[in-house]
Amino acid sequence: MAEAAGLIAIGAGLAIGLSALAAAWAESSIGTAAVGAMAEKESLFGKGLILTVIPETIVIFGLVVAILIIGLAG
Amino acid sequence: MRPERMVKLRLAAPKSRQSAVIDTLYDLGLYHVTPHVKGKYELDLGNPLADAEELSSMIVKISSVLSRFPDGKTKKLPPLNQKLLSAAKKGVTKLYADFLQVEEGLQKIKAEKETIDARKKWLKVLSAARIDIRQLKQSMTLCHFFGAVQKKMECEAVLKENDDVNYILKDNILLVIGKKAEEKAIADLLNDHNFTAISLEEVNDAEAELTDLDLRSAKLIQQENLLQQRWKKIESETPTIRALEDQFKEEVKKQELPLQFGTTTSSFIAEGWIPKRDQERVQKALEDSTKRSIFLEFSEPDKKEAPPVKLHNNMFAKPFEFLIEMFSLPSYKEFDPTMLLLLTFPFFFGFMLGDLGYGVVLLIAFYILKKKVPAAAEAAKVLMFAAFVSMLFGLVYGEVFGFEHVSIETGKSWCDSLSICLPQHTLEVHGQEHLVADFPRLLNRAHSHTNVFGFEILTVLVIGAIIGFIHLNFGFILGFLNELKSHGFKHALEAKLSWMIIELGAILAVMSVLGMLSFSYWIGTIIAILGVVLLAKGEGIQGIVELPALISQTLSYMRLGAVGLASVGLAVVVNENLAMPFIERGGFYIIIAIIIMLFGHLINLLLGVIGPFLHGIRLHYVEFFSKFFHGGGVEYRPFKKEQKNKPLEVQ
Repeated sequence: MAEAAGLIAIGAGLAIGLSALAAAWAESSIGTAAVGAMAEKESLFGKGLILTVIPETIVIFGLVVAILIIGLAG
Repeated sequence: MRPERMVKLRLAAPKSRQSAVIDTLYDLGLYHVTPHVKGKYELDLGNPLADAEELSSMIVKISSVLSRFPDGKTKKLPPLNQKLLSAAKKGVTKLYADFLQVEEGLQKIKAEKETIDARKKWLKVLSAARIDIRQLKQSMTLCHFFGAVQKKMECEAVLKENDDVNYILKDNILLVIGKKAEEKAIADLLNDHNFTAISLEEVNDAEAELTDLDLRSAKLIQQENLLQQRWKKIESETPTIRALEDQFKEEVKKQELPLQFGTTTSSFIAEGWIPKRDQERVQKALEDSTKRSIFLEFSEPDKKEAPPVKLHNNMFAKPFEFLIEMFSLPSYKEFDPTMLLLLTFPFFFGFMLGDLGYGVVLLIAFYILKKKVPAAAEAAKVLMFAAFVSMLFGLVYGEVFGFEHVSIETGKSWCDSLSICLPQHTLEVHGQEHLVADFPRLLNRAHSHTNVFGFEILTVLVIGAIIGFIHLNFGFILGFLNELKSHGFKHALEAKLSWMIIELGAILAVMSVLGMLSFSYWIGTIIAILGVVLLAKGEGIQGIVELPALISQTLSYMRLGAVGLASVGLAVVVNENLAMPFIERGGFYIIIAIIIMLFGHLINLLLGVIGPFLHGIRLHYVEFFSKFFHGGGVEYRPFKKEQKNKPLEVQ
């Protein structure tokens, strides 16, 4: 039983960790481009910010999945 | 809910009235000028008024003076009139001439002083040598070298060993005297040590020349002092010219306005927009100032025109305008979603942060920000709303700085002394049961679960998705209304309502499958397929590709719960896992615990502002606005006085 709980915890950790990594990867390229655009035109800050946080959704899904995995274990 | 209504104002007047018209428009500060395109109505572009060029050159003069005095105050000056203007121009011209003279004089003196100092340096070496230079120059048997040497240590070492030469070395100035026969050998030696010769041709008596130079230096210092006094005087004028610079810039702006007009030889025409509510005021002002020799034509915008957009909201929604401007201004025909942001943004923020303690701290912090930083006042107001809603949600969740309960003893003492009696609750920690005094709440967001299709899911996540479903469908309805107005019922049905039909069909089908409805799931499926067909007609393949977004965007609203869970999770870690072990030890360790809690909650609070703010606004921009909002409005920028360093005024 303890072994199964450990595997579940690892699964939940992977779900949130990998999705966070993916989001960070995506955000890094968007963020770079956004800062570049802002250097040209400062008023693009709002749009840049929004575009940069778009991949955050991936982490939210990762978190939801992680919570579901833990929930499944009871 | 709509941007300020605008009317187009086309005006024509004789050129003799041009500057009166410009002055009136400037003072009104309401006219958004549409630049004239050369050739329209077969009219040429206008020319700047007479003074523009001169004033521009004045501004250049002022800024070149000010570039030497970068910081300082600005004097308050009366508004410019013709008399003051010509006096100001004369003053600036004189000041500038003076400035150039003084600056040049100071530079010359500095350069001459440097030359003298350098010359004195080596003349001193000559004079210390006590040699008759005239004789030395005429000598048939002796040769001499005089100049600066770079590698002086090595050079001196070599010269010391050579008994046939005499030398003096001071600083890096070297005088070497040797036999004529050895001239070449000495020259080679010196060249090896980076020797640069100084000509002695004009030097006859070092001593006398030194005295002359000292006299000259003293004179220069006197001159310099005089110039410095004039420089100070110029500096004392800078507050005035700093103010004049602003006034001249405004004046040039006025004088260059005709560049945006169309003209004939004796008259001009201008086109632009004014808020409809100010129509009468503008009309009266223009007619008065030109003694009615002006033609004014006010017209409603036609379908092809895009009037500039000025958002127009009540005082509660006004601070939220910056969130719209950050994204994009609505186009003139669209409605302005600022009011919707007022309703949902603080709600989303509060739902995510949801902590009584954090809410109070943020409310105070943003109040201070609003007072101290006028530039951030609008954002601070928005966040104050949000912080207030966070307090309310803190009550809903029963959370104060991440604590959901206090110990039973504290609860009892509160009940006795403050008559705040909290309900008792049995809590299981590591298999042991504790009795605690629980904060009252409607929903325990960290622990309460809901069963959805046989899955145990945290209730806040489910609520988040439900809010998302409502919010998105509200967006579809708004989109439907927008399309109805601009493209008619058919397109509105196909592009917007079709989404809701698909949703309805899918929900019916799922409910039938689950046995919640008595009829076959085919009914729901057929409705959904009908919706997809409509969507394909309205939005084409793009609509079909976007179909999964219906689910992913609804799920995306789960972040409303998830961001909050992360925030409360961190708060619990700070309280229970980091600070608690120290508190249990008691005594001195309690101080450490307090420091840990201060830092921990400060960090969590910062994240708790950034996270809910970004996610809250993103849900609007990405998920909600994409359903109905097009944006791309042109900002309303009336021709008026520049407001410098002033906070945005709330109307």
